[in-house]
This record gives sequence, C-alpha cells and structure tokens, in this order.
Amino acid sequence: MLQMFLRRLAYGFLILNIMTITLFVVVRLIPGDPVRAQLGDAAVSPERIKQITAEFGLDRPVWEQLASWYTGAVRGDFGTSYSLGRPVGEVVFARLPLTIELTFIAVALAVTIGLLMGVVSAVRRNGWLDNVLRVTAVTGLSVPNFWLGLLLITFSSVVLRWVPPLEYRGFFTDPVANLAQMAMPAAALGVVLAASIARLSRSSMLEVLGADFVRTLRAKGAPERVVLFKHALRNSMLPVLTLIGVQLGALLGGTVILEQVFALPGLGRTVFEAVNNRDYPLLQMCVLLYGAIFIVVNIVVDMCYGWVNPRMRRAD
Amino acid sequence: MKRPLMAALTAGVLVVASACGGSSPSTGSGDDGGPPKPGGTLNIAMPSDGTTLDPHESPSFNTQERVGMTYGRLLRHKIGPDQPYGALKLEPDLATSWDISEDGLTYTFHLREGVKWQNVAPVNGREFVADDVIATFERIREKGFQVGALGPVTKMTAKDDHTVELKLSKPFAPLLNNMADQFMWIIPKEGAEGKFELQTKAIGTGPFILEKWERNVAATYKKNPDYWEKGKPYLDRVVFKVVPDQGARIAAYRSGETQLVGATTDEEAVALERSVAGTRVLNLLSGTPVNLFLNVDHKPLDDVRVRKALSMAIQRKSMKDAIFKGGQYGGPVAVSLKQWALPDAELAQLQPTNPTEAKRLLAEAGYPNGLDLKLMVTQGYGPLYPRVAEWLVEDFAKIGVRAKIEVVEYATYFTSRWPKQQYEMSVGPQTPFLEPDYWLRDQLHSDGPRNWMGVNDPKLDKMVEEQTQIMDPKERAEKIKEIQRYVLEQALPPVQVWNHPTKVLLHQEVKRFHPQPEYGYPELRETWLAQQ
Repeated sequence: MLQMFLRRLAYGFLILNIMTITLFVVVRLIPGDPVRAQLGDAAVSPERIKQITAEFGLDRPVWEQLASWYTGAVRGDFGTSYSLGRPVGEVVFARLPLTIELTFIAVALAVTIGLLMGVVSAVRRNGWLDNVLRVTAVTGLSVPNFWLGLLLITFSSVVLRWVPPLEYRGFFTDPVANLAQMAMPAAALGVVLAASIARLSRSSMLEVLGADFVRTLRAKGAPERVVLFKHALRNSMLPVLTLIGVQLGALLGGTVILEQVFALPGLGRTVFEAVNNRDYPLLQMCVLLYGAIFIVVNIVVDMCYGWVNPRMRRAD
Repeated sequence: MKRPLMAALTAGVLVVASACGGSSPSTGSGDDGGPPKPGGTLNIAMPSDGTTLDPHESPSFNTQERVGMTYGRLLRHKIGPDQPYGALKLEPDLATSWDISEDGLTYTFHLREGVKWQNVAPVNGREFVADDVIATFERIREKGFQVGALGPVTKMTAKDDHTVELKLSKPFAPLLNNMADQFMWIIPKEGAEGKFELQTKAIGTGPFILEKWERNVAATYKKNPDYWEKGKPYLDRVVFKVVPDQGARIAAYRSGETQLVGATTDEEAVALERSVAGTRVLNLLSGTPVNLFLNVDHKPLDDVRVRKALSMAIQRKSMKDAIFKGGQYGGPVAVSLKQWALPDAELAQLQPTNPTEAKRLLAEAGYPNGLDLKLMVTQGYGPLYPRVAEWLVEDFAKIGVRAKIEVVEYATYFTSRWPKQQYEMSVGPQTPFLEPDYWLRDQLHSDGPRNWMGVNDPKLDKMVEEQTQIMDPKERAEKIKEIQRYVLEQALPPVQVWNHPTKVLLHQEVKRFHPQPEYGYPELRETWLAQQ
C-alpha cells in the first residue's frame, strides 16, 4: 500500500514537472506581448518598455528564465505577478480555497446523486423509473455546464426574483451566504459527472447483481438491503472511482468558466485573468496548482481502491 | 484602449433622455423626482476589476472608474439635468478660480480653502494645500502615463498654501481642459511620498470614501461626511460589484441585486425594460466611434483614392438600423464632445456612400479588378465589432475589395497587433478621450504616441500643432473643425464607420443620475434613491 502510494507520488511529481516545462515554453510561443499587456494603451517610451522587459526577465533566453524559475521554486518563491506586482503564491493561495470548496461540493453532489440514480436504475431495470433516469442521465451528459449555469441564474432571477448575493463571502465568514453562492455553480459543475456516474454505476451494478455470489447471498436468505448496499454497491464502486479520477480534469476545467459566470473570485477567474494579461508567473502558478489538485485527488482515488477492494490491499 | 467594454459602457454618452423608449414613462427631467432624500445604497455591476488603484499607473477604465468618486480634481465638469450629455462645461472643483497670463505661459490656480482630506490614516483629515497639487503633478511627470496632459509645463510652484503656479515653455491650449480630465485626480502628498499604498488604497477629497476594495469581488464606498460641498453626497453607500458575465449581470439587475447596469445589447435592453417595471433606459452616444483603422504603410492604403473608395463603400445608414439601432455619423474627434465635434449634417456630407464612385476611384488608382485586404477584429470588445466586420466585408465586396476577416484573440490584438501596427485593416474602438488634442495629436500626428496607423502628413502635423497654440476656445474649436474636415477629405484613418449608442439601465428609484462621457462616476455626488 505504502509502496503504491510512493510510486503514485513520484509519478505525480514527474507529471507536474512536465506540465510546468511545457506550459513555460508554450505560453511564451503564443502571440501577445506581456509587457504591453501591463501598460494598457498608455503611450510609453521604447526605453521604458525595454526596462520593464528586463525587470520581467523576458530579455533572457527561455531556458535561462526556466532555470531561474526553478531556482526560485525550490525556495518557495514562485515569482511576482506582472499585473499585480505581488508574489504569485500570495495571490493564488487566497483564491485556492474557493475553487477547492466548489470542486468538493460538485463532486459530493455528483457522487450522491449519480450513485443514487445508478442504483435505483439498476434495481428497477427496464421499469419506467429506470427509463426516466436514463434519459435524465443522457441529457445531463449532453448539457454544457456554463449554459446550465446561465440557465439556472436566469431562471432564479426571472421566477424567484432572487440571485445569490454577488459579493463573495468565505465559508467561515458567512456560511449561509457562501453556500447560497456555491449551490448553483456546484450543481452546474457536477451535472456531467453525476450523469456519468449514474450510467456507469447502473451498468456495473447490473453486472454485479448478475454475479454468482449475489445469487448465493440471496439463496442463503440475506436481506435485499444488505445484498444491495453492503455487497453489490461496494463491488460496483471500482469503475465509478476510476471515473471520478478521470473526470476530475474536465470538472476542474469547468471551474474556469463557471467562476466567471457566477462572479466567484477563485482560481479559475485568476487563470482567465492571467491569460488575458499575459501574466506568465501567475498563470504558471495557477496551472501548477490545478495540476497538483488533479494529481492529489487521483492518488486519493487510488488509495480508495484498496479500501473498496481488499484484493488490492493484499496485492502489495 | 484596454478592456473597453466599458468605454462603450460608462464613458458612454449623450443622454438622449427624451428619446428613451416608450415603455419608460419616467424618463426626461421627471426622473429627478423632487427634493433629494439622503441615504441608501446604490449597487452597480461592473464587468471586470482593475489590477491597481494607482491613478498614475493604469489608464484602464477599471482603475479610473474606481478612484473617481474618491479623488477630486482642480477643475471638473458640470453635472445636472440642464447639462446635455457631452457638454463637459468646466467648473471649479479644488481650484475656485484661475488666471492665465496674456502670453499663455503662466497659469495661477487659487485653491479652495477649508477642504479636508478624507479622515483615513495616514492623512487623517488634514487640510488640502498647494503642496498636494505639486506632489501629484510631480508624480505624474515622474511616472504617470498621463504626463502628456501637462504638456510643456516646466515649473510648478506653491506660491502659498492655496496658490499654485504653473510655468510653460510655450502656450498649450488643452491645459485647462486637462485639469478636469478623467485621469487628473489630485492625490495627497502622503501618497506620493509612499506613506500609504496607492496601489490598493485611495484617500482623496471626493464625495465618497473607499471603505474596502476586495479585488475581483467589490469596491465599497461610504459617504464622506467632510465633503466640501455641504449636504452632498446623498447616498450613504455605493458598491461596485464585479460580475464578469453579462447574463449574470442581467440576472442581478433583474433581481434587484444591482440597480444600474450598462453596455447591454439592444435585444437585452428591450427584454430587461419589459421585465423590470419602471426601468429607465439612458441612450448614450458612445465616447468612441467604431473605427476602421487602416495601416497606411501597407500599399495601396497610402493612396487617398483607395481610402476614399473604402469609406464610400460603407452603407452607414443601413448599418445604423440593422446593427447599431441609432447613433450618428462619427468624426475624427468623438462626436460626444459637443464643443469640438463637426455637426452631424456636415459629417454626413463629408462621408458619402457611393459604391459606383468608389469603383471608379479604385480603377483610377490602378485596381479596376479590385484588390485583396485583410480585416482584423477581436471578440474582446463584445459581439459588436465582429458583427461590423462581417458587414464591412459585404460592403467592400460590392466595390471589388475582397476583404478577409482575421479574428484575433483579445490580448494579442491590443498588445502585439494594433499598437505595433501589425495589420492591414482593423475594426475597433479607441479610448474615449475628453480633449480633442488626444484625438488629433496623439492619434494622427506623425510623432503621436497613439498613431498606430502610420499617418504621416506634414500639413496635418502643422495644423495639429497650431491648435495647441490657440488660447481662445471659440477660435480653437474652429481650427479643430477645420482639421477634422481635412482628415475626412483625405480619408485619413481611422475611417469612421459610425458612432453608436450604448445603453445604461436604471431601476426607477435611482434619481438624478446625469452622466457625462467621463470615467469616475462623478455624477454620483448628485444621485439619490427614492426607496431605501
């Protein structure tokens, strides 16, 4: 188990490095001038532009810039934001909790609703409820999350004459306002995942329900509740867990646009701004964190395999 | 102009109050609703936030809009129902009077006495004095992007605590207007000395105190009890909320989370007007026209006949109805600047539409079979500009010009293409300047810092320099009109496509909101709320 954990960690570290280097180079290849981007349309002398270019270190070759980024990074210094003039660590860590909370709520919602739908579908196989749920799931899969977000906010403003408070409040400052602000974006964000989970858990549940050990369980007179939730569900969780890990990338990507739609000042908004401002250090830091979240969650998912499936534990 | 969704929005323009849609009975002067009642909070949705509050660091509307209510200027523009949008009449703010010497080389400003800085540490309600003005202007000269506004000022002296004298090396007619410019806020000397961080704080002499700035969330202002204009402002609080998505801005307006929203498309304005009872719509003429920038270093755009042909191909009147839903002919100086703009009829006459003549001109220039040109546009300013570009392609096709649209990502457009003159033709906005000098000298002079079209016309250079030397405003206005006629006759870029209207929507309880085309929401010192 520990060995697996360490191996995953090493992979994760490797992936983060590949990501960092790729982004570092690619972002410098796309058109757009980071110096000009900080100046707006102010009329500035060529000397001043040269001076700022040197301040940003952009007059040096890319590999030298990369080396100096690494030198800083090992000391915990990830650079200074071009547009804000403050350390990127400080900027980004202030934004991180929101995105983590949003992702967490979205995943929690998706897992709860998705599993419920999947199990009910499987148990009521080919009944009308199954059909309704399956159609719902396919619809959920086909709806773009930002569109759903807009639909939700428009619906609530037209029908309820209410929208969540616009000024973001942290969970610990004002939990009620915070959850009101998180509900719609989290729901919009989680829909695709919930739908995928519903479909996958239905089929894997059906497979398990047809297995010999389930027949044996029923034959020895185990209550249906125990058969379903203690044995069948647990055994059908494995592919679902994998799915959460894989889908998380798309989900994190969704935060970029949903934070924009719902005016949430999280990591996604920061990425958006950093790209528009050609703020290389800030973008680098954001993407690094997104990568780290993705990798950490996937390690957690891998660890969960062991918890769900004792055979994996013994495999070590 | 950086992120000018807003240029369209606030710097907006010309309140044609009487022309505001039939479904809003409360338009016109009736919107002032009797004697003002103090109190209440006004919530305004903004599409984005600034990276800094330092008024000398960024010309972005994001920065300037957020500091305007906090700071004062030496002079300001009159606000009120009697002031047509774009009148921009000067009146005293921190200077009560001023003298200009006969030769135009010495300006003496007499400062208002008894003005207190807002009671915020470290300035703590100290009295406003001449040293503050000097410190501000020194800082602008040292690092401010608006340094051009001071022109040939060589020496600045505080004669006493309430007198500031500026010496110039040669006359500079725009100087007085520039003292009321949207970028010329007076900061306390503690700010210039670095005793507080101008990047994140604003302490001024204005009607509202900046209470809190949470970047990308909101800026919250409270009434300044020590404001020098007794009894004002009326509002207890103003909150700018950052809502990047237009759909969400509309939803927030509809639910009452905000009471003021701008820059919506016409269709959305119509929908909102219907769904929120009593909504008032201000039809404001945009502070920037829709420009067709031509790179005259790219042949054959250096040929006046080709440029004229392009201008003559544009079906402006049809575009007005189909795309812009109103507005008027554009001019080299934005037509929202009433005092300096050419009359609409003359602009129409100078910008005729005539595809047959356009074809003839092209043939005469050596292109009887037409020519190929690229037309750059970005979606960063909203859907309007791409729509215009598509229309232009059709118009140009009719005279044999095969234009190919090149859609460029926003940051690329305003960092490496437009300012570096990397394009053939381009459709886009300009910063909504308030002084004709910016429109003409900065943009069209061969040495102009914003001449990103390669315009190089010695005759124009001379005229543009001359207008800065004419101290009499009437005479200067004549000269400026003459320059504009010349620019249009030569079809020098930017070719004017149209000056479109933008819309601002207000809930009915918002009274006395009379904007002028300038940044900083100075009109809020007069605004009040009927229901609180």
